Amino acid sequence: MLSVQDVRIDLSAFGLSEVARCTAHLRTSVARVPSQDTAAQAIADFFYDSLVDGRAGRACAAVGVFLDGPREAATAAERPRRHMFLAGFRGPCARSPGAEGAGPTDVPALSPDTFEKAPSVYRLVERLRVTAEDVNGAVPPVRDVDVVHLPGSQVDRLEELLPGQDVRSTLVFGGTLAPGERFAVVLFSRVALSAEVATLFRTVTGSTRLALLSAGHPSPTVEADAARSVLESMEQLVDQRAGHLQTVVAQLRSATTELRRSQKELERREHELREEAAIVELLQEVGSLLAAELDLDALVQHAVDAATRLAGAAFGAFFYNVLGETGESYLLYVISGVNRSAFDKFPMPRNTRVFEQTFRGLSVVRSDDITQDPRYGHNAPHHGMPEGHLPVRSYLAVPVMSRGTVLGGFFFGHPERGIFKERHERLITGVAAQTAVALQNAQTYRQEREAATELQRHLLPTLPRVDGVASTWRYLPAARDRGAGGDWVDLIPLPDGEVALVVGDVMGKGVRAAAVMGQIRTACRAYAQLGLAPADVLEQLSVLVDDIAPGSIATCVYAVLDTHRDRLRAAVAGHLPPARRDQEGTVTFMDEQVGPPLGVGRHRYTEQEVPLPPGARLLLYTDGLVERRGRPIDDGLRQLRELLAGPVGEIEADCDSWLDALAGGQHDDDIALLYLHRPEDVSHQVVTVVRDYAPVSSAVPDARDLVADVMRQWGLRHLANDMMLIADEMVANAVRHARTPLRVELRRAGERIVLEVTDSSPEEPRLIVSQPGEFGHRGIFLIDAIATRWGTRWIDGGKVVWAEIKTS
Amino acid sequence: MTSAPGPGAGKPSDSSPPVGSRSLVPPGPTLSLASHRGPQHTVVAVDGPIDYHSAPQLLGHLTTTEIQNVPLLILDLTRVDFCDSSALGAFVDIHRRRAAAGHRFALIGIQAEVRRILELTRLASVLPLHDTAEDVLSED
Repeated sequence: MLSVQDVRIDLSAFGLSEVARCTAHLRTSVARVPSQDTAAQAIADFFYDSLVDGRAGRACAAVGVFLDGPREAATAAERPRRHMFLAGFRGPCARSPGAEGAGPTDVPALSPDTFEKAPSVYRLVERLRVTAEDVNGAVPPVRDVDVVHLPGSQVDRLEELLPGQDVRSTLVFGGTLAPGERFAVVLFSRVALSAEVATLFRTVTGSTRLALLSAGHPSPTVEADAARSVLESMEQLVDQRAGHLQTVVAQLRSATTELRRSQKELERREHELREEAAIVELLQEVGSLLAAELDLDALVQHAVDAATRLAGAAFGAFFYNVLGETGESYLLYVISGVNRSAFDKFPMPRNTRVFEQTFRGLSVVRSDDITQDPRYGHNAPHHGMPEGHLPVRSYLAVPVMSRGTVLGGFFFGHPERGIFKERHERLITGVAAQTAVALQNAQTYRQEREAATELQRHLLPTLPRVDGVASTWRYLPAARDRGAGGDWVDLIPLPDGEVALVVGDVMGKGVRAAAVMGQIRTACRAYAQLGLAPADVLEQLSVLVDDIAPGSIATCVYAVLDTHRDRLRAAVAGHLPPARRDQEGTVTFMDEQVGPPLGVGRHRYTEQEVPLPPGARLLLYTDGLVERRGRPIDDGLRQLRELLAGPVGEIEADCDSWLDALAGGQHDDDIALLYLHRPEDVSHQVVTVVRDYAPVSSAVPDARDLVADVMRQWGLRHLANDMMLIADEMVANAVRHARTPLRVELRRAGERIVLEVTDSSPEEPRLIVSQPGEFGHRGIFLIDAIATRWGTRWIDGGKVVWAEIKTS
Repeated sequence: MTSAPGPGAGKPSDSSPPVGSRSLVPPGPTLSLASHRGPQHTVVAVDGPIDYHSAPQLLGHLTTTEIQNVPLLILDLTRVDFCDSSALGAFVDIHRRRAAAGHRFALIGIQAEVRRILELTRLASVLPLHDTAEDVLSED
């Protein structure tokens, strides 16, 4: 048989089965005990020994079992009074079970009188709402048991009572044994007990009562009643627990569902947040990329590349509006993901039902399959995508707007269905907003830059036309240094068929050199207008430089051409000598009378005078033309002489081919040129026609018409077809590749016609690098077959493609 | 005779609202095209210069499914006095596509200036040039 000492009931996991085991073992523990007092001690022992904490240690620091003492005699005036005494106890100062002398004697009896002095244990017992007096004669029902649970150590002087025991909960339970006879059990538990456990102890209270009643000589009726009430209580408890369990299971089930749902919700939110963060990050990345870009062409390409990547599109396009120099607006586009040539053969898109949403800035269009869209396929001639168009099912188009104005539109396509999600739409809408801001920045910047370029253009001369002289000039900033230089040229018409020619170079770079240059040039013009001789002009300028910019040094050539006498007088201040080519092609450098540079004090300069009759040419230049790192200046001069002595033609074409041969875009210093030709007869006068066009395809027929008109006016009908074809191919090339406003210039100089197309794209002319099979390849083939000579040249902020044909 | 997109084709039809000042899109190109359909062939007569500006319109017209499926396509250039490299590119493109699909293609009514450009670019011997539509049809 299992001894009471071996029973282990875990108070930290106290449940229904623990209650049942308590009931059974309480009965066993009091079997064969002679009296209720002995039973009380046995019960104290049982609780003390059997209740364990989660780690098999004793759960109770102390256990006390109280019984009502014998009825005391009372005065007539008083009601009979009974005192509870400690009938059983286990604890730090415990009496061992069954020890002799065990008795209540050392514990004061509990009474109203002693209440104030009584140890706190008694006060605990007092808290039970079971009173002996209330019950009179009858067997108390089981509900007359009570349990008081004090979580924590809410017991007065407990630390004094049970020092170092670490009591977490105090449980007091008791009830009536017989009319007027009470019992109570106090457990000081080291295990923190819940209210639930306290409820379970109602049944344990019943079991304890039964155990006390079965001790000694119980009345069978009372015992049976007690047993029944324990059973009822157990049943109740079981019912209650079962109900509770069901509730718990239901709650658990719904909690699990809820948990699963919130888990999913959490995952979704987390995913969303992560997406959101990724979007913000991507947008920031794109935003800073776009914000840093002020060049419009680079900007739109960046924008469409980034947007195409973010949209996950097979290809993307950005259509945008640009204002031309003359204020007209035209549509351009850039492509990402596929080669631009994939769209070369299609006309510009029109306001079809699908496109107008974007072009008019009405709304974003996002479609899983645009061919199924009700707006698709209504517009002639293609009723949908033109043949040969890259396949598009998934479609996304987002307008780029700023203050109600449509600046452009993003278009994305993918051959598969359902590619573009709401996320992509949000991303691209973000990119569109950033693109709008960046576009405006770039346009503002471009306007400012154009203003600056315009200013620079004003600083350098537009050479006036002078009878009997064809002239042109060039200014090329150093290839590797974009700072303003101090080089200048000038041509000043004077009275009586005279014209002053000037070239100069202020040493140094930057704003200071440019400012000094500006002042010298202005002064020089003033001296020229005064009619000073070349030597006098240089002398005055030298004093001026000393004056306005001490320490500055400048070199200069000042020459006066008398077109009536066909003579040229020149003075040179430390500058490279002018080069003269006579009618026979002999070249001479005017290097006999070279004086010191300007700015080294007053000096009397000497003039040279040479003939410059019709047919002769004159070149004034700065050292950048002939001087280059790794090439002695004498070699440069020799090369220049050879070029000048060679075949010459129209002056613009001459300048370009010489610059190409001497500098070739590799010049270390600025280059300034002034080039004159004295035509032999009036028909050699240069006639120029200039027209600006927007880079749109209609510029091609327009330019062709211009050329046809001009050739007819010039009486050169037989060359009209050739010139029209050249103009057509050159303009088409500029529209196709440069995509910037362009200028067409047609010049007639004697027997030569020169056509120039100027764009402002910094890109290399594609004419030369076109791939075989491209239209451009055949285009250049045609130009090469028809033109006498052709070429390209760089200008500040763009390039010129030119072609020359002979009229005879 | 069907009236293919002519000068008015770029203009909005009832399904496409008029080009507003707020719209980005410019008006369309202005090549005049007319199709004449025979039992096994279609003659497309072009009026106007074919160049970088108008070639996309011509290509668009010649690559509609309807015209692509015609066994023989004859492009009448009698009223074309100018072609540039973009036009040549379009002819070569159409020629290749039709050959690949097993369909025939012919160019008729070549004017002097157009012929000069075809010869300069060595395309006169590559492209199927004929004098008249009858010449092409009598080859059958």
